[in-house]
Amino acid sequence: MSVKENSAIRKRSQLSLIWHRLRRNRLAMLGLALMSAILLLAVFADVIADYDTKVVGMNMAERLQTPSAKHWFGTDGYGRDVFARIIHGSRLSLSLSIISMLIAVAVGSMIGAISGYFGGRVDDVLMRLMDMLLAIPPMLMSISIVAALGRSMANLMLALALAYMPVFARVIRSSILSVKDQEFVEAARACGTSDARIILRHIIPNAVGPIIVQATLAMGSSILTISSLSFMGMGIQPPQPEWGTMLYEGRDLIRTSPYLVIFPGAAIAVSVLSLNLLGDGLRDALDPRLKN
Amino acid sequence: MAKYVLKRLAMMILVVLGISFIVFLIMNLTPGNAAQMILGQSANPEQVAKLEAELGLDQPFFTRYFNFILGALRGDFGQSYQTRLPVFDEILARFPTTLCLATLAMMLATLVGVPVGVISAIRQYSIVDNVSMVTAMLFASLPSFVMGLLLQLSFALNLKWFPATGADSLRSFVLPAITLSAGTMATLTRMTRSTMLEVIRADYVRTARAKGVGERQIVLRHCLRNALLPIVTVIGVDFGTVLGGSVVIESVFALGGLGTLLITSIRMKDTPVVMAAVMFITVTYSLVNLAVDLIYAFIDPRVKSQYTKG
Repeated sequence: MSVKENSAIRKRSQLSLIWHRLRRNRLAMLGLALMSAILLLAVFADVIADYDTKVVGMNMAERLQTPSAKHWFGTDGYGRDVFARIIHGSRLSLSLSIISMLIAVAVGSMIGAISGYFGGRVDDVLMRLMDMLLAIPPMLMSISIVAALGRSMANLMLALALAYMPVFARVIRSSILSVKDQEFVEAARACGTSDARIILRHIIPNAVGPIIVQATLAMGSSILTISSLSFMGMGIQPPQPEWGTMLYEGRDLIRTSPYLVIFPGAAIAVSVLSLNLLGDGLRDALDPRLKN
Repeated sequence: MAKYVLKRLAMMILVVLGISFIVFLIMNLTPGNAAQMILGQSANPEQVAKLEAELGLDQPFFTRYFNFILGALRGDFGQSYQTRLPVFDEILARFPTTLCLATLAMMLATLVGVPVGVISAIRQYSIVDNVSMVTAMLFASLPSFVMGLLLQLSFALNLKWFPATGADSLRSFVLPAITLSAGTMATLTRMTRSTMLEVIRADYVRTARAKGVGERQIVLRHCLRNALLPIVTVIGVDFGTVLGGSVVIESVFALGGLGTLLITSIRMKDTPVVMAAVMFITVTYSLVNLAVDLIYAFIDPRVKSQYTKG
């Protein structure tokens, strides 16, 4: 019982230490604040603007209006409110990238854990496979999968998960290699703990830090990939308000209504920027070399 | 050294084979019948079966893959479903544009990113440092196609300094290359700065300074040389990102490279062309990484000695 309490206290202090270091990093806090704001807007999107009337409903009487008090970011070629579409677009971008990163982390961690823990032939085969996947640029990989399987949200998520999975496999593997010969793993094995349990309970928790950093940065990069694919007409299809899709639709009107490109572009940039700032900050906060 | 090169070459062949298998597998997941697609919905089953036999589509998966590899080795990537012309010729005609764009972007990123990174590190926390770090952060976060659209709007459509679309002269490559280089430029600047900062505080740099070595010498010979490894790594890795990104940027500026070919072929469901284009880009990327690994051995005596002994 007392051992359990002890570890709980230690864990909390470790976390609060990291939080303390993160809080002193102004840029990271800016990133966190921005991301929280975007998440809040995404969650309360329906309260802010009605989906059916403002986001997908057309209103030709009010088409191509420049930004005003009524339409903060103006209206697009179908008279839809750009601000409302951007807010609702954050739902698509965030949920797609979060879900695909969760899949990538889960599958990648398993592969990396098995590879690092067992070593030898298994490690060789799995890591060469990951090398091959890594040798295909993420953008091309996503394009190929979407091209082969067809344009749908599920395929898009699959494509992103597959493209980013090898990175996580590598991160987990290297963390495992650094802890697997330590005494607490040997102790667990001596107690007769199964391999699966050792990996899940004793090894993976030690790799959580680098995984969170990597996932934060990969989320930013996946938002860029999603919007690029949509911009090329291979991601989310109109009339859904995805940011890349909005840019695709606004592209032909860029000379007369540049705000149709600027606002969705800024939305992508701000979300990616906040994730990058947060990821960098987390990396520094988790880096034992930079302690104090 | 020769042993290292050979070993690395063997590994690359293996990786390329693996990639070709993955790409072939993905492309074969395409639902629907390719022969039916070429002939249209009105074709009767006999015609479809005849074309299938002609294209070898009735063979089992591994036979088809094997035939694809044999053909690819001879420069035969089959014929386009759409134009019925050899895929290889079309790829070869488009490839220089993409390679030229990617190389220009990479050169620009290196020529700007590395010096700015070095200056930022030397003058840490100065105005130059702060401005370049903020710019790098923005460049890394702005999607390349948005930047492309904005550059196109201001420098091509409004100021008319450069052509907005097409690839008629080198001038047409200026805006796309700038657009494409932004992300890598940002990574390189940040990477150069942080490695330089690590190296600047090293003991041997202090020793050099104590010996009275000039500041210029210290920065170039003692610091930058040691910071070179991570820089070269970034250049290698980001070449893939740039090649992937060129697919998007080519379509923004209507450059007729592999990227635009890839996108139109995907729309037309022209699988042989898609496969060949993806293969070409990925193999180029692998070759660049091979070159990077060899450069490693060249600039890092530690890597070199590992192999000269054995």
